[in-house]
Order: sequence, then structure tokens, then C-alpha cells
Amino acid sequence: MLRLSSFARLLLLLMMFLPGMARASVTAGTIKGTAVDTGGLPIPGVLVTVRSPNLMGVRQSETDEEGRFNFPELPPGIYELTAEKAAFSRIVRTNLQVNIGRNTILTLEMPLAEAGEEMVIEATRPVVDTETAQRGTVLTKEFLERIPAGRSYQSAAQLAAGTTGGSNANIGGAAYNENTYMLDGVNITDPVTGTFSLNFNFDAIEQIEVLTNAFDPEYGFNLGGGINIVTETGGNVLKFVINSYYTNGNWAPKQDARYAADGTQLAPTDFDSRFELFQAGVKVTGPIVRDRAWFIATYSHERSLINNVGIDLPRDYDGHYVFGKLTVQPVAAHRFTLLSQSNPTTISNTNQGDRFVSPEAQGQQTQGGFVVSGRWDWFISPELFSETIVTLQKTYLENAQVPCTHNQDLGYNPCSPDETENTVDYTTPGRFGVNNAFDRDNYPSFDFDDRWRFSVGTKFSLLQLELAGTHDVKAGFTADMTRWRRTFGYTGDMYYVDLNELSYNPDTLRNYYWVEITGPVSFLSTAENYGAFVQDAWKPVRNLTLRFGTRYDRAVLRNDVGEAIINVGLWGPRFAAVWDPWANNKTKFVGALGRFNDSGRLAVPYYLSQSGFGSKLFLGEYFRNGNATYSNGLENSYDYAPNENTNTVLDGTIAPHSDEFSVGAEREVIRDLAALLYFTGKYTQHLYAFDEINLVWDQDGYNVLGTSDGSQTDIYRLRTPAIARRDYFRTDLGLQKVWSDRWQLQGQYSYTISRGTVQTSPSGFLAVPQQTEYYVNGLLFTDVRHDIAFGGAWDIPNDPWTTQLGMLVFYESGNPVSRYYSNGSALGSSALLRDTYGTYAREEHYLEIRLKVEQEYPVRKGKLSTVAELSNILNSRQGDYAYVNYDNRWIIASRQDPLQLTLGGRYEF
Amino acid sequence: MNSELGSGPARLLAVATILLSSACTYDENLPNADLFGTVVIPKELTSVRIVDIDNEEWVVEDDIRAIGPVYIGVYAGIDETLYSYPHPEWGPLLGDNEQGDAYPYGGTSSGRFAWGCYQATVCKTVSGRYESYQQVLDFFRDELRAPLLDDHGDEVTTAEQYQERCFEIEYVTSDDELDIVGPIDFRDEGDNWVADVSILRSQFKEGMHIWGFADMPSQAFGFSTCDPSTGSYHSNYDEQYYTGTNYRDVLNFPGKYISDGDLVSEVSVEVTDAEAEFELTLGYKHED
Repeated sequence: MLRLSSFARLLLLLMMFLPGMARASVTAGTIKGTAVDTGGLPIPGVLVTVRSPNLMGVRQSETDEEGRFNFPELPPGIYELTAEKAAFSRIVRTNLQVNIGRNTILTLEMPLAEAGEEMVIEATRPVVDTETAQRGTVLTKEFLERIPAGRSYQSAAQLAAGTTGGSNANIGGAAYNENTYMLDGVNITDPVTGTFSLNFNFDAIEQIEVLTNAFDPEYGFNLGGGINIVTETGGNVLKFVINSYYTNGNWAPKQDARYAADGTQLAPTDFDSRFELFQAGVKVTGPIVRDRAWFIATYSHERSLINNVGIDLPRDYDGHYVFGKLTVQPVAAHRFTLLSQSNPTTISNTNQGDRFVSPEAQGQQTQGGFVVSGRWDWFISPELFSETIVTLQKTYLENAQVPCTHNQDLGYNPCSPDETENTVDYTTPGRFGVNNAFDRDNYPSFDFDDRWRFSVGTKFSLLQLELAGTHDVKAGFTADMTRWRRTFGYTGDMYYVDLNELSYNPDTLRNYYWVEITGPVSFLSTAENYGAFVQDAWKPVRNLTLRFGTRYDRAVLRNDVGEAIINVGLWGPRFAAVWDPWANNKTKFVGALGRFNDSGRLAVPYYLSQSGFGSKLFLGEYFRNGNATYSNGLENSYDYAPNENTNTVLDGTIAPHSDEFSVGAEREVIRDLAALLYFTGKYTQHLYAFDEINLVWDQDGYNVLGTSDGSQTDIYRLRTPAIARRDYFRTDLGLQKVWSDRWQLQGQYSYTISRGTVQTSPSGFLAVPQQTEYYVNGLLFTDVRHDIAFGGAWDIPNDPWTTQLGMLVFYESGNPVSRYYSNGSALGSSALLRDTYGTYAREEHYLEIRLKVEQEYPVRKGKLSTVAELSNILNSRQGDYAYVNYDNRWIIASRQDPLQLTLGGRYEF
Repeated sequence: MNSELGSGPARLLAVATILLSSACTYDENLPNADLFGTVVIPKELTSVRIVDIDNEEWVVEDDIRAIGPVYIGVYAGIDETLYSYPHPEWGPLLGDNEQGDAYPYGGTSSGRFAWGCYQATVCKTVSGRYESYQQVLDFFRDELRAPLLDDHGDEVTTAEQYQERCFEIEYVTSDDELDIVGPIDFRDEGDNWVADVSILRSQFKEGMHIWGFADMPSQAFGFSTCDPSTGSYHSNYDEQYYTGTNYRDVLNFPGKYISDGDLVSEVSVEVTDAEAEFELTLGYKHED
């Protein structure tokens, strides 16, 4: 163990506060433990060796005087450990699983040797990590390959307790935009929306860690959870994998569920939607130099065709995902990693919500981007090491009209005979329909959106420091700079609105009115986020770990003219105690509390941008001739000048944050299978919220009676009031069986209560009328009382024709939906739920069962397998969203996520 | 074990507690106050004279269903010289012949124009005035002598029929969600109708004045503060119309909307203590 001199301690302190550069991340795991004799006495001087297909070379260490050994920073994967010392039997432990951020803790009992004896123990894996407190789950590659998660890491993440919602999950009662997405230690969270920003190559994933709560300060995460993806590294063996999958949901029983406002189920409608998905990929991994330089390169293509009911043209998603990683470790002390991911994607016919959109008016979205990251790991000594990561990321979203084509069979926007194919017309003014007229929805507008992230950071780890026990000390600093450039406008800076009610016919346009727009609007918004942390895992005695530390996060969010709209900083102390009462690594009791801070996102200062359209209204023939006396008073109220944003921010905003506590226990009840029971309470306050400062409302908050400044404009004020809050309580009862004896199982039942005043911290709208019953506490969308998520995998032992079975079961009782809002313009789009009016309706409960069968076939070289996957076997009807109809009342809508069949094949050699 | 633990954990817990509580003293320093009080309307002033298209006249007496919305504002000052009744002070005049704004620090109402599910009720029904659908039917039939008619021109006679219509077109399943029926705003206190009002999050300026008026119906049972060309757009089969709502500047230009028969507070309430409850009496009946 490391005993530090005074100089070393000083150096350590300096490093802790060094304004170095690197992202705090956890991408590795640890094997540690103790070597003892049959009487339980520690054996010093045992040579312990670990090796893995995922580890360059081997790692060796000798046990200290207390028999302890420690292998930190091991790439996740399957390991073999050997322990040997003269006069003792040689111990070999195979099939050890190293998980991200977890400790694989072993007690190696080494009997005295008899001649030539070697003891091999291979089947068992530790299932309880008795030194960590964080809650969540780690999904290993072998498990991910077997479960029917639709080759989506977002779907797999739903297995973690307290995870509900869709692909951008609500974790721990937080909003969908409050999670952090990490890829090999690189923050790939969208800097504007707070959602995931990269569609990623599923084949490259080694492990996924889904963290829900009680994580250490080194995780610079947000109010929600963390999706921490670690990819494969390569290996000393050259491997090729080719796969292809086809999914079809068209042949499912065709019924579309509908619900009345109170949740009462209505008769189903005809269901003529369409869903098809084609996926193909290739992966190459292997060595450049054995044990010195490895690589992985993958390419995936994904194309889906989805039609909503009554829509002729399918939403056509065409994505290409390219991932590459090069890992070089020229000497044992230094490892360099270069990572790159890009995902150019085109989505045609984006509008599937309105059947009255003409083909040539359909929008096209191109999206994608890249992330490039360089990482340096410096292993100064086995107990002292650092990591430094530099990242550059760009994502883009471009929305415009579908480019024209000469291929008339496609049915898209046809080109004029002399028009160049694939051109987009940015000059001809667009046209809308009103009063149920034929809608030319996306045609008149365009939107170009570029988002950049540059981050640098460093982390130092000093392990096994002896000072009244042992300490694992870590400290780090992160600087994360983001920018958002957006340009949007109308073609020709003008749009026409007509009353061509029955069908779209350019010859019979009535020019109801038209609007001239200043533009296009272009703005740049930036943010700087800084975070620093220091933490310690202190083991004062062998069976007790005290984890404590704090982080400090500062966020400066600037609007389009560079004003620091948000400039907040907050400490995030965290403390946890983990107790292994019998000191046998089979049981732990955990208590944790801490504060988690919201570092914000660029959607927040957007509401205080100075950029905006000016517009001027012209009335058409309908008014001039058809009804010359008609006047709606609007014609002269438009200003043909850029609008000035009058929104303000209240002085003294503070960072939104969650104070959280959790207590629980885990115990290995039978070999390799642990049962767990946890309770979590989470109090989130000071969420970003807007309220009006100049409007005077009637008693019900329905109508404005006047303005305090005589203005006709609503002026909003950004605040972080304490009452903008969420209170979340969850009890988890779960089982965790690690992969052994050809099967694995994990899952839990959760009972959740989630109340509060606001669900979503912007980016969405979040305005609260000034003088109504604002901030009424009520059930939130995340109040999913009963939530079950189980996943299992089983290899049927019919060697050599191995059959792999996988199953997922998800059950959610319906989430609450309030049906009544006071003012559509202010509240209609917010997720504020109030229980003072009307009654709550809950969406229908949902049970989904997925099955997957993969059959391997013996081939002369390599491994061939076919896959069949059924999702939503019961064809359950899923209530998945609510919307506001024209009367500003919430209606529960429902779309079926129908039974789907996936067929595919994979060949490895 | 105890000796190894020493006092370290206790110290850590203390530090953690201090750090956790370090940001609990957050105060937004909002310059706002919630004001609570009552508005009083003498019953003797609430009688309304109705004249139908045949010039037949009658009086609706002492019936809260004939009281329109009561608008209450908080203003910097009250001017006795602008009108025949006290009126909030004007801001700067906008032009030679244009009235300046009054700028309320805050305000509220007692009742609002709540559409009663039929076109005939646009700008004629006010929330907080009816406890049941039957009361609406009775009032239109007996007091206004203009029974509510359905799509076919037949009289709506039962509360069940009325409720079914409202539930169908408003997508609601309980009366609570329809503001047209529910608890009555006013209570009977002898010679007066009294309503509790709360002016939430008003800007607080010491010495500011609470002032208000009640929009009383015209002879045709119309209300001067209601604009039938705005509000929610009702679209149901061949019914296409706006359901009406108050003008957006009622508290900025109250004098523009105060018309014959409206009730105005003769004496405004000066606010020096935001905690004290106020009582505002609408004791002046304006006559053109």
C-alpha cells in the first residue's frame, strides 16, 4: 500500500486544486481483494496476475502485509486472475466480470500446496460490490447481445430502476432533458436540449452503465441520471463481424387505441400505419501491434420507413453511423486513445402528424455530426494515475423542404423540367392553409442549427493511501464550452395564407392574407461550464467504506448578444456509507445523501435572446373585396422590424439542484444472485421557470385584464424559485443474477410517488401566470406508481449448436395526465400538472414482453447465427402522450407500438 | 473498530450538513405581495332593467346572475376629476385626443366571462354566478325571457341535456371543469353581496390604491367589457364562432368600458400594510 512522504502529500494537494484540464469520467472497473490462508490470516507477497482479451498485456501486483491486492482502471470485460506463492496452492479464477465503476472484490483462500496442485474456481462471480454506493445497473456486452433490446442502448437503459419514459428517459423523477450521456468518458449530451445527441453503433458497445442516484462527485452528472457507454477496445485477435436485421410491424393486428379525456377507452380506429426497419453493420477489431496498439472500426446503416395513419409518404430515416477507436499503449505507464464517431442522417417527410400536408411541402431534416476525442492515461504508479481527455463535438440539424426530384415514382417534391435535381427553393414564398384548408406545413420555412462542444478535463486518482485506514482519493477539473449557431427563416421572407379549403389548387388561391417577415434570423448562443471535484473512499476498517467529497459546478450561459443570462455556481457535497456487516462481500447496507446540480443548457438563455422576426401583415382579397368592412385590427399592429425580446431574468438566480438520500441493502441470497431493497428520496428545487411580470389576470387565470406597463406584449421573467420543485420517492425491490451457469437475470419492481410543481426544466415552455394559482403542487408525469422491468438471458446447453434466449418484461402503471389548464398561451405547452381542477386521468397501464432467440450454427471458420426477435408480443396498447386540442384542453392520445418481428443474421470470423 | 473510527465520521457528517445547508437561505427578493380582502356590492344597486326586441320592459332584481364580472385593480393613485366617479390616474397622454393608460400594479376579478356551451350564451354568462345547469336554464327562460335553444331550435329544458351538451363539446367529464357552474362567488350578507377576492403577486408600493368596478348588463343583457369576436374559437359541425372574452385592457382603460348601470367603487382602499385585509365597496351606480 502507498505510504506518502510529506512531499508526496503536498504534491497530492497541489494536484487536487490544480486547474488542470480533463473530463471526470468513469470508464473502467477494479479487481481487488485479499489473499488469506485457510485459517483466514492474510498472506503477504502473493503474486497476483490479471489478464483479459480486453487488457493490453497483463497486470501484476504483490499482496501487501495485510494480503491485499488492487487492480484499478481495468477496461471492462471478462478477466482471469491467478494468485501464486511458494508453498501455497496456485489459485486461478476465470470468468471474472469487471464492470464500469464497480469493484470485483475477491477473497482468495490459498491452502498450503501439495505437489502440483492447482485450484481453479471459475463459475462464481461476485454479485455484490461492498464498497460502492451508487445505484443503477451495468449492462454487459454478453447480456446486451442476448436481450431483445432492439439493438438500442436507450431501450436497454430502461432496465435500470426508476427509469421511465421514452428514448430520452426520465430517470429518478427528473425531466427527459436532465440526463448526461457519456461515450468512453466523453460527454455527448446535446448542449442545447440536454438529450442524447448521437445515434450510436450498437455493435461497438462493451458495457452500458445506467446511473440513477447516489453516485460519487466524479460523475459530473445532472439532476437526472447518467448513461455511461464504454466501447470495445479491440484485442490481439483480428475479428470481423457482419450483421443484418429486418424489422416489420405491419402485419400486427391493426388496432389503434383511443381514449377519451378521462382515460376511458373508446372504440379503436382503423390502423393503417407502417413500420419497417432495416439495419446492417460491419465491425472489425484487432491488433495493429500485439499488446501495444488495438483498434475497432464499425459501420452501421439504419433505414426505417414509418407512416402514421392516413399519411401517404413514409417518414424515411436514413442513417449512417461510423465509429472508430485506436488505443495505443507503447509503454506500461502511458496509454493513448483516439476516438471518432459520426452519424450523418437524412430524414425525409418528417411531418407524420397531419394528413393534409402536400407531398412537396413535406420537410426534410438532415442531422448528424461528429465527435473526436483524444485521451491520455498516465499510470504514474499502480496507485497513482491520471487521465486527460480533450473532446470536440459538432452536431447539426437542418430542416428544409424536401429537395426536388425528377423521379416521379418517389412522389416527393417534383422538379420542374429545367430544375436541377436535389435543389431546395429558398426564394419562393410559401403558403399556408387556414380553417382546415390544405396545409403546406413545412414548405415556407428553413432552419439550420449547428451545435458545438469543446471540453477538456483531467482527473487524478491516488489509491490505497494509508491514513487511519485506506483512502482512494480522486480529484479533477472539467471545462466544457458549448456554442449554438442557428439560422432560420421563411423562403422569400414572406408567406401567404389562403382559404383554399377543399384541396390544394394553386389556380384558386384566395390570398386570405400574407405576411412579410424580416429575416432570416441568425444567432449565436454560448455557454461555459466548469466543474471540479474531490472525493475519497475511506475504509477505516475492512468492512466499512465511507465515501465523501464534493464538487463545485459553475455555469455561465450567454444569450445571442453575449449577455451572461445565467451565472450560477453551487457546491454538491455527497456522502455515503457502505457497510459489509459480515465482511464476506456478500451483503451490504448503504446510506447516501448528496446534492446534484443542474449545469443548464443553451435552451435556457435562448428565451432571453435579442433575435427575432419582425413582420407586417397584408390583408388579401378576402378582406378587401369579399368583406370590405371587415377588420380584425391586426393590419396595423405589425411592425416590420426585428422584434426586441423583452423577457428578463431575475437577479440572483441559483442553480437548480436535487438533494437526495437513499438507504438500502443488497445480499447474495443464493450463489451469484443478489436480492436488493432500496428507498430513495429526492427533493429537487429551484428549477428554471418563467413567469410573467406585466400581465394582470382574472381570478381563474384565463384571461388578461390589463398590463402593468400598458404593453400588449407578454413579458416573461426567468426565475429559479424554490417552489419550482419536484419531490420524488421510490422503493425498489430487485434481483440481480450475474452471468454464470449460462444464465443471467436482472430487474426490479419499483413503487414511485412523484409530486411537484414543474416537470420539465427548460428547454420546453415553462411559463406560469403571475396571478393565478401558480405553482400548485400536484402529481407529475413521472408518478408511475408501479414499474417492473426484468431482463433475462439463457444459453441452452445443446453444444455445439448453442441457442441463446433473451427476454425483457416491462410493466408501467399509467402516468397521470391533468386535463385542465387555465390559459393556453401560458400553460398549454408546459407539463405543469395541477390537481385543483377536474380529475386526474392516468394513461392506461402498459405491459410489454419481448423475446429473442439466437441460434448459432457451426461453420468451418467463425460463427454464424440467426436471430429472431419479437417485441410487444401481447400487442399491448400504449398510452404514450397527451396533447392539447384547439380548446386548450388536454386529451389523452394513444398510439399503439405494435407487435414487431425482427429477423436477422450475424457472422463472426 | 471504535478506536479506528474515532471522531472522523462525526466530523464528516457535520461538514456535510453544513455544506448541504449552505444554499438553503435563498431569497428571490421579489417585490410582490398577495393581497386578500372582500368586495361588497349593495343589493339595492344590482337591479337591472331589461328591454326585449318588442320594447317590453321588466326588471331583474337582486339576482347575482345579473352581475357581470367585477374587475379590481391596484393603482398608484385615484383621480376624482377624470370622470363622474373616481378613476385610476392616467399615465402620460398618448396624443391630443387619446387617453393615457392606467397602469395597474396588479389586479384580479370576481367572475369572468365563461361561455355557456350555446351560442346564445356568448358574452352573457359569467363564472361564479350559477350553481347548476338548471339555474342557467331558469335564468335565461324566466329572467331574460329568452330560453336556450339547441341546434334544432328546440328549447333546452333539462339540466341533463345541458350537461351532456357541455361534456360533449368541451371534452370534460365533470362539472368542476366547466367554470360556468360551480361555487357562487358572492355570499348574502344582509343588504350586500360580498365576495372574497385575492390579488396574487401584486407589485407592492406603499400607499397604492385598490379600486374596482362591476360590469352590469345593458338593457339587452350585454356587457361592455366582453368582446364576442375573441376568445376560444368554437368549431363543432356547422357551429363556427368565437366564444367571447373580456377586452385585454379593461384595467388599463376602465373608463372606456364603464357604461350605464355599472357599479364603481366610490372610495378606493389605500394599502399601507400588505398583510391587512381590505374591503372594497362598489357603492356608486354610474348613469350615462
